[in-house]
Amino acid sequence: MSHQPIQLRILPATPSRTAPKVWRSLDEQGGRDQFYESLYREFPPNASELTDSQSRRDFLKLAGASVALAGLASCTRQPETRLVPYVHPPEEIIPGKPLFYASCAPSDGGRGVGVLVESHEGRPTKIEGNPLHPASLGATDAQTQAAILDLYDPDRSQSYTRNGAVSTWDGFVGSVSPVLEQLAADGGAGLCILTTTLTCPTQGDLLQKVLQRFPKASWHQWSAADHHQRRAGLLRAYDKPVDITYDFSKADVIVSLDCDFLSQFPGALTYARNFIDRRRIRFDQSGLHALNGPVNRLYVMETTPSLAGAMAEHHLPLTPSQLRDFTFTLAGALGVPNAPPTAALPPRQQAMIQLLTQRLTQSRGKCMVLAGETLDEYSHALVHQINHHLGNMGHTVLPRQSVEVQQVNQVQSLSALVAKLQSERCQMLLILEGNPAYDAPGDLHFADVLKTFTLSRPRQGPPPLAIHLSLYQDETSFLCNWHIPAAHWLESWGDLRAFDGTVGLTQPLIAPLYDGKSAIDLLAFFAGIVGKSDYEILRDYWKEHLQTGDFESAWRLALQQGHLPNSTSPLINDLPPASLAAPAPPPAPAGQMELILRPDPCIGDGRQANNGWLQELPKPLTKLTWDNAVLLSPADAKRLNVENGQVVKVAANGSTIQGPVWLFPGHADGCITIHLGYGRAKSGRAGGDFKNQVGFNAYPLATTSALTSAGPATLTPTGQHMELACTQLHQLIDPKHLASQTTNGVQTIPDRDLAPLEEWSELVGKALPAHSKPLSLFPAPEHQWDGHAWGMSIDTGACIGCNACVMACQSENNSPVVGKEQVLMGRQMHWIRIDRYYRGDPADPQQLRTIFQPLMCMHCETAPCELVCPVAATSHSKEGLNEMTYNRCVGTRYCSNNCPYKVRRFNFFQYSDLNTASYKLMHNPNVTVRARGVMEKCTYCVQRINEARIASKVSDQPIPDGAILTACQQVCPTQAIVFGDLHDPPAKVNRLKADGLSYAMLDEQLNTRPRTTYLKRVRWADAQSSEG
Amino acid sequence: MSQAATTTSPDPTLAPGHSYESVTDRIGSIVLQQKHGRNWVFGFAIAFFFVMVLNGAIGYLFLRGVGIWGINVPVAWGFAIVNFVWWIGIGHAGTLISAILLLLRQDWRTSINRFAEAMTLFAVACAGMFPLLHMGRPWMFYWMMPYPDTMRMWPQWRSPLVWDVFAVTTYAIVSAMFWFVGLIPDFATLRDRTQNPWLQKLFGVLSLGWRNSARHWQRFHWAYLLLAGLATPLVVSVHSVVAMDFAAAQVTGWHTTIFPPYFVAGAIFSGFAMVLTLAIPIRAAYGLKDFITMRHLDVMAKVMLAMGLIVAYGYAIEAFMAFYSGSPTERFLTVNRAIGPYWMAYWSLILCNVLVPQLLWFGKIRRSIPLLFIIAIIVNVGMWLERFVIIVISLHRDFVPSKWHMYYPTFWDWATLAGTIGFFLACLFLFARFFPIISMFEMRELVHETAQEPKAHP
Amino acid sequence: MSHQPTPIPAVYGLLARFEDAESLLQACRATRQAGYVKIDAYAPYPLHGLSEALGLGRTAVPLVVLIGAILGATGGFGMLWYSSVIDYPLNIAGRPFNSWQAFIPITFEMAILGAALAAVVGMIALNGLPQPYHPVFNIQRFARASSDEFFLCIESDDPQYDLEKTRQFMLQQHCAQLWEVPA
Repeated sequence: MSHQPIQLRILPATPSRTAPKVWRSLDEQGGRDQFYESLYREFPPNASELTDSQSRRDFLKLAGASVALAGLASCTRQPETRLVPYVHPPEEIIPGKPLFYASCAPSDGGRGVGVLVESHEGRPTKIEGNPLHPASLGATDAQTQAAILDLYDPDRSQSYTRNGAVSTWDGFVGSVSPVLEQLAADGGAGLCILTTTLTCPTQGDLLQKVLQRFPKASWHQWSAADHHQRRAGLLRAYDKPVDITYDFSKADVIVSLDCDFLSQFPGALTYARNFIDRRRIRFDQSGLHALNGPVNRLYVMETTPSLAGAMAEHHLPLTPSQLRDFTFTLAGALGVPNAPPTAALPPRQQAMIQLLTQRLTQSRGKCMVLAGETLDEYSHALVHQINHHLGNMGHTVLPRQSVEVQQVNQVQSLSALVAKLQSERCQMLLILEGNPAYDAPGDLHFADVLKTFTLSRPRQGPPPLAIHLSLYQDETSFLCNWHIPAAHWLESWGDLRAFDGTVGLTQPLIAPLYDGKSAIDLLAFFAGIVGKSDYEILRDYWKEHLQTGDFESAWRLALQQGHLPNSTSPLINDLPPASLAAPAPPPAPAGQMELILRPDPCIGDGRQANNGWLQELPKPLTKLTWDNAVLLSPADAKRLNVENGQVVKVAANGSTIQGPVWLFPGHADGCITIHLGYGRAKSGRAGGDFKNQVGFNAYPLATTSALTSAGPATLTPTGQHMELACTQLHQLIDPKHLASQTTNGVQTIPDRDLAPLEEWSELVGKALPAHSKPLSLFPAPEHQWDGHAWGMSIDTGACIGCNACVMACQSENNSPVVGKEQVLMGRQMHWIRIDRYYRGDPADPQQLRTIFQPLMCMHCETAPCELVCPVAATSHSKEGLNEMTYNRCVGTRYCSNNCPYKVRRFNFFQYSDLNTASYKLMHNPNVTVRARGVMEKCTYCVQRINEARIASKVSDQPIPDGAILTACQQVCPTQAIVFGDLHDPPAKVNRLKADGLSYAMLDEQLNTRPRTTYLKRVRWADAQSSEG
Repeated sequence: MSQAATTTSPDPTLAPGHSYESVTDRIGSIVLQQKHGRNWVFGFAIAFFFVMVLNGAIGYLFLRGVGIWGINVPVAWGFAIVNFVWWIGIGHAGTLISAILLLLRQDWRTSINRFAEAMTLFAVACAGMFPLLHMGRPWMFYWMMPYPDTMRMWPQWRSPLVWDVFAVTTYAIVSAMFWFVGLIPDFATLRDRTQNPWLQKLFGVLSLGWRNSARHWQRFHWAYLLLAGLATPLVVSVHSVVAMDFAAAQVTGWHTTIFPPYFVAGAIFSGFAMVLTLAIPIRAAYGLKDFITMRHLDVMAKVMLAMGLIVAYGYAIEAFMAFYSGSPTERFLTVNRAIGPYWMAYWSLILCNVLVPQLLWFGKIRRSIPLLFIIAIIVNVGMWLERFVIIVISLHRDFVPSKWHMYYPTFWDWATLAGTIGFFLACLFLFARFFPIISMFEMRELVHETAQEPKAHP
Repeated sequence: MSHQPTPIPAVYGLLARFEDAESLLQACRATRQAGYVKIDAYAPYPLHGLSEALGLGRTAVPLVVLIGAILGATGGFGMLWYSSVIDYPLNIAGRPFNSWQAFIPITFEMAILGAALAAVVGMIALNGLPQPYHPVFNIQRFARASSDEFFLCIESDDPQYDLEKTRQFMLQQHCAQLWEVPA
């Protein structure tokens, strides 16, 4: 495993010309360039596979060399300035035993989420949440899980290029330094720096140093789809950098105006946990009890159906313009001073307004109103006003000092940069990460501007220079003179502020695979700091900024825990009510479709477009993979006479794009939603390029004035059709059968509603029968066992459908990616399937309700799959696991046919990539990588069970409850999944299985006796009495 | 049946005026003298082309994996298993004719049992391929059989697939032996008649030195009778076990107690259809109209009709039970069959297997050879559709709606099916050319009996 | 085409040809009454009554088949039971190790297989086949025995066998032709 040529590329952080202590060939020892040259030529830019014989020969040559140095890479737990041979292994490392290192991931839109990274002999293989980090609480989102694939992505940029030609860091330093000298001469007037949203103190500090060196230089920020309206709204309301966090644990009533606080929102993981904690219940003989105070109520007005909407008691679909009026009216109804007047609303909205005003006024200081990106900055400011008015400030709504280094209106910031580029006032442009050539608003034509900039030849002064630091050779790198491969956050040092300001420390798990540079390195170079590694810079920064007695111990503790103690940004208690000027111009004229642009729920704004895991991850609600689509409500589709997959032209803001239609039950009528991040022109094998595009690019439709809610659009159907890979087409529950029962004033959703036909009502389980005596033809089997008996309970009431478990499972269990064609054939390989069902009439979106049910192997005690396997490849362990013996399987697929839950997956082809070297580093060594023709399925993470068992045998202690966390359970933000020992009475899982809401799916009908049971979801009626 | 029998009594089982010598000569000469005509070469060429198609399909399958087919999850079984059940069913008619009719002393079987048995062998050969081909890792097929494994692993005896392995293997072996034993005296005849010394040696070896002695005949008679007695329960058990591949699973639409009997009936149904499909051209091609008379065709048509009625009853009772049982999934399945995405398959099945065979009530149609031929082919198609309906429709929408998915056959699915048909025909062409396609000694016996009492049938 | 029997030291027996089945059957009965025991008859098809006429006893084939069936069944079930209870017990879908209900089909198939093999092997073995050489084939005309003619042979090792007497006796049976079969 460690004999990978790829490890050759683990070089000293800065390849010094002096003879290295440990050398790998005489050339290197001699410090001659050829060695590095040959290294880089091994993977020429953008060449992802070793196709041409020439490079293959090099490859073999180097592979040969690598065998001699097999161990070297294994010790690069952290990048050291030199490599230590494995003959003196570092003390921490015991081969075969993983180590966990605290680090901090820039997910959450550039904000930090604390993580623990699992490392096997120096190879990071799995990312877990850091329970000590306030933005994680032990959970992560799907994107963070998938980051491990980004790290090992063979399509990553692997070489420095200057105008397309391969170069080196030294080459870069050599050629850029003199230019910098010139710039410094006149205060760096010609220098522009473009960064993404910056929450990293050290980088901020370095930027200040750069700006000191070049006083006239300008710093711009741009992160596509990073809550620009919210930021603008805050600036408008308080005209100073303020950030707002929310305390869901104190909120009884939550009103979301198209704000999906459960995903793609700063602090979403924490909010999800706190939100669900307030809904935990127990249903026993004495009735239904709320466990953490009265159960909160969620009211969601939304344009595009969202995870929050799926959890809401009441949700009301509105177009952006309707939403705007609704917000104004709500403010007025609540008596907010100088709330803008509006015309009367239609009765339904009016009823909702009344309901909300009643609820909100009843619970002043114990409620909150949230605003989403489809609202303009004025409405945002108004919403802050509402929270002031309701006395929520300081209770449920917490204003803080901004966590960003410099909170600016990024749209204006980017526009300013474009202006500079066009007028020849800019000579050097430094782009730190980000991909503006792709994701800048269409009306800026950033790509063209950048192109003309780099090609322009001013009469006086040096030719303009554009430098781009990024993980991939992307659209922007293509237009820049210099491309510098970035180090992945798992490869570099750094620090990140979380949504609440907590500073997390990013600790590298492996030396840069491709000699990439971190933003810190690059900024240090621009600041004129020489001979200091990013680690030293980081450490020195905190040495002077961390007010503490003994820095050493504090620092070590911080590294250990992953974040600096009490570094949350301070609350602002005496924040005056926002001052509101006149409202913004009136909304779009009615009659036309309103366009909404959102980051994709899987690949975000496109930065993770080349991540196969995320591409194949079914989107939480549409269950689409590998594509974005023009989403609209069934009613509109009927009106426009378009159907699923039909390609339509969408014209808005002067530009037109083409994309397939997808009907989205619950979507508001009168508007369409398009997810951003697709249609990349230069990405990779998964993300596509201009030749074979994956999805279509919607950024051209965005404008600086209309980003998310992009104003009026016209749809014109075309004749073309396009197949979309949707993993679940059958989910709508027959509207004729909406029988739901009421217990103690609580309206429960019977599990029957998890199936689309009334006929199914008896099937999908009921509460466990009092006598769980096995029904069988056979005499009582001789399989009695009083050791461990593993079981699981999943709370469908707590599942928000965020997909994190699916990704965690894929990462933990080396599940392959199969590609769009295979998904179309119904061959996706995820071990967990989050079933999403709708209740209600699609024609009436307001009544439509969404239910999630995560489904993996049930580990039935009378497993139908085992009975029919001709070769005993799947059999039962003493502890009740339904075990799959891959190398015994002959692949008759009979087990899959006979599995009523259809949770088995088959390798119809050789799906797992066994050749790509970097993937070999990525795989979890404790899980077999499956071969062609073999059946596979959820194992309850048996490798983790065995690890715990070994530990307990070594320590001679019983396995405590909660010591074994399955990958899905560990990552779940709402702790909906609980795993444990059924023979250990106090174990939590037994408490849950005893609950009145617990049921075993299909058990009644098929007597499968599954070890995994579910807790029914309770839909709360809107009556006070229901808070039992 | 009895009513029908009276209408056909004038038909002789053997055209009058035949002697021991004439029957022997007519049949033997096909093998010994007659050169294969242009038609034979042409037909064989076509069949052989499809054998090559089969090779191609299998080669690519082993190269890439079963993913080249349209199967998926939930529909993990597709054409492979459909074809398997179809072929094995066809095979059964051969055994039935030669064994059961022998026990029932149906003299009319004599002239068709030989190639019916051959048909059985070739059909079983085709069927036998699929359980191997459809495996994800076919090179591990022997794990399904008991053998001294170094890991001491055994097959999982509770799995119907293992029952299948035993049933089908036994069936193949017994059919082969039954066929060969019947051939021994005829090989002796050929040995004694041929002028070619090499053929003489060949047939001499094949006939094991048979010399028509009374003692030989006595033991032969017993062995043959007992084999027939064993083959009869065997053929029933084999298709019952095949039926249990489905009935023992708990997939809705499979989990039905009526499956074994109704599968057996279906098998005989399709089998007789296939015998007719073959007999009609063969008797024309080799001028055997005297031996395979209208009476044979008529009787076989009647058997087909009877079996068709049983199968129709099976469909009816399935639908009835779905609603009578009150099981919602059963009800849903039945509705889904009729009006679901595969409704066409279901209704064409009803047309082919239930409606069309009703024409056989009419003597005129039973006597019209072209019509009979067409009906036989329609029934073959219908029985294939039945297996498709049972396997694919039941799987594509089962318990958990979120994993419902359609199944569409790919080019390779079709290629494999066409290939096996080609293989089957190619084998038959070779058989018709190089083996006595009618049992000569039994024909002589028939001559003897008809000479004694002219109307020789029950 | 009658050919002159030339005195040859070793003689297998006297072979007589008969026109039809009836005369063969009569000849057989007569021959037995005359006390000949080492005799055999040849017919182109299983001729009813021939074995009785020759006084052949019951054949052992059925018994062999029964034994085969019993061995197959016991062997089959034995294998299933031993492998899943003694040799390698596995918990399959919570069913007992000895799920005899599920073992029935295979046991049945094994019984049939055993019986069928016994029937064929038994028949061939009892018939002393395969037999590469037999004297009767020395008579060319005997080839017709497999298509349309009937033969009776009195073998020379019969206690009553005497070339002259036996030939006379045969001629009395209205045989169409008579040969001395060289051994």
